[in-house]
Amino acid sequence: MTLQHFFSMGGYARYVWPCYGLVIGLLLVNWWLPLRRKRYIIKMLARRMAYLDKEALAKERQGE
Amino acid sequence: MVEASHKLYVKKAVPASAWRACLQVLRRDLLLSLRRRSEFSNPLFFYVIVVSLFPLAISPAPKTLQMIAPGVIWVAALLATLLALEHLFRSDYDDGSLEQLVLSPHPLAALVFAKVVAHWLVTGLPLLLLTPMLAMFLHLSAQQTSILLLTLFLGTPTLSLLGAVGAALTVGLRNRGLLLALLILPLYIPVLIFAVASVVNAGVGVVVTGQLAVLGALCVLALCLTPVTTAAALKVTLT
Amino acid sequence: MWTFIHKLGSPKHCYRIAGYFIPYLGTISIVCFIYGLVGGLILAPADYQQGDGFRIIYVHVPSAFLSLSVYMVMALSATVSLIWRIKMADVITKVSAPLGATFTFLALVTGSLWGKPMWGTYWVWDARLTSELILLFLYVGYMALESALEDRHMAARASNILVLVGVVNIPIIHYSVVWWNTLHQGASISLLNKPTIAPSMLYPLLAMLVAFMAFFFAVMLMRARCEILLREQKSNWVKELVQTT
Repeated sequence: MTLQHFFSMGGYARYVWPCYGLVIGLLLVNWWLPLRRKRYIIKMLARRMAYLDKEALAKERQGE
Repeated sequence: MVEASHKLYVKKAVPASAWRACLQVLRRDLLLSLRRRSEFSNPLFFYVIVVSLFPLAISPAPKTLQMIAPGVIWVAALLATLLALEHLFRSDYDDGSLEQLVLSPHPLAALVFAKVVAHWLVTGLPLLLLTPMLAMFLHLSAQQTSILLLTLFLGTPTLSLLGAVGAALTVGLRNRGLLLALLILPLYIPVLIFAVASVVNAGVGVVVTGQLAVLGALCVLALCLTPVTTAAALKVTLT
Repeated sequence: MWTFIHKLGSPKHCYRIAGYFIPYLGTISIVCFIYGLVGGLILAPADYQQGDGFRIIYVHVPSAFLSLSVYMVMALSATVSLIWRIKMADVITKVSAPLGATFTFLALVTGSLWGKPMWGTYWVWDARLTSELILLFLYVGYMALESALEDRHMAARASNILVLVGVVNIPIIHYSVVWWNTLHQGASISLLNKPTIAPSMLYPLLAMLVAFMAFFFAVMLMRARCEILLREQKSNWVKELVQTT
């Protein structure tokens, strides 16, 4: 199989390559989304915890 | 002593049998729907209007109309049923009587079944009665019309029963109408396919007992499975 | 053995075990996918009837297979959750749905891209494609209901019921569509109409199937981990985990 033939897919390039492109693209997006979401969740929880800590500290000081 | 009297009290409050409780529910729902006529007549008007849109949209030629009639009538009936189903649990949910129903000592599945029967009697049955007129609008032959009525008679109960599950799942939601359609319409496809095919085949002169038997089987299957599922769904969504 | 199963019910252990499996599943998926790509696009000979267009099956068939299997996974975990009330089963049902919808969508698009050169149009109401379309509707319905109910427990249990209703209906829908299809048109050539398939064509396909399955499980576990973090955000182990990262 020549390189030329590989890229033209025997005349079916218009159908084969978008197919593979779409599949690989969507799979990658699906892989990436939970990674991003996990980072986001951890960041959000950390921020919330820091906020709660600060509030608790402020309360303690007020109590004093 | 106190406990014993308490037991006695509970026993007295319970109607004699589940069967009677079902009849009570049936009667109550029929009475209520007599009071709120517009809720149940609106889907019927919708049915008539949708069907009469098609000659205007496609073509008034009798041949064309005859060809599309079974599908058009069935799709319109399906949508009208769906529209009516939104009201199946709605008012009962709003005034709290649905919760009473769930808390009652009788099997919820049976009570739900009674509700669906009442609902079909006030929506499905009138729809069936309107159909000959619409069939005439669309130039269906008498023989095809009779088969159409038969498929509606076998099919709309299935639609109501299946839709009850969806109505129970979406009962407390604000935009339940649209959601109900999303959930339930895909499940209506088998009924639609077999019903329309039998009407079309009857027009060509093919024997359609097979398709009608399938429709009947689907109805029986829905009769067996959906009341229990609806009851389970209600228990989930009302807690 | 029992302690292991017991541990599966606890979110913390689930989170850890999932984290342990993800790299392996990911590796399997990538290796198999690359082998499948090379084998399918280069090594396998062109089909005598469909030319190089048949190479689409290497992504179409796994997508179609997974689209249905994911629904089965959801039905299984919905059953487990409804019977034994295991919270983790709810998580699996919930996070699988978008993946299943993705596979269904891919199966539809690849199927219609294959259909253009073979049938001459992008869309034919072929039994397989139609069933696939209806399956997509079922996934959409599930996700709509799941996101519409605000209370998390109620959402999980209500959508579990919907999954079970769907799983009872899938065979009925499929056979009615097949029957409808034979009524309206003769058998058309389908993506998988060969009685025998050469090994050089078959092995890449099997590799792709494995790759897609491993991909599904890896991403499902990744999503489940996110969901667990959110649900358990008040527990101590999540707090520790957040602080250490």
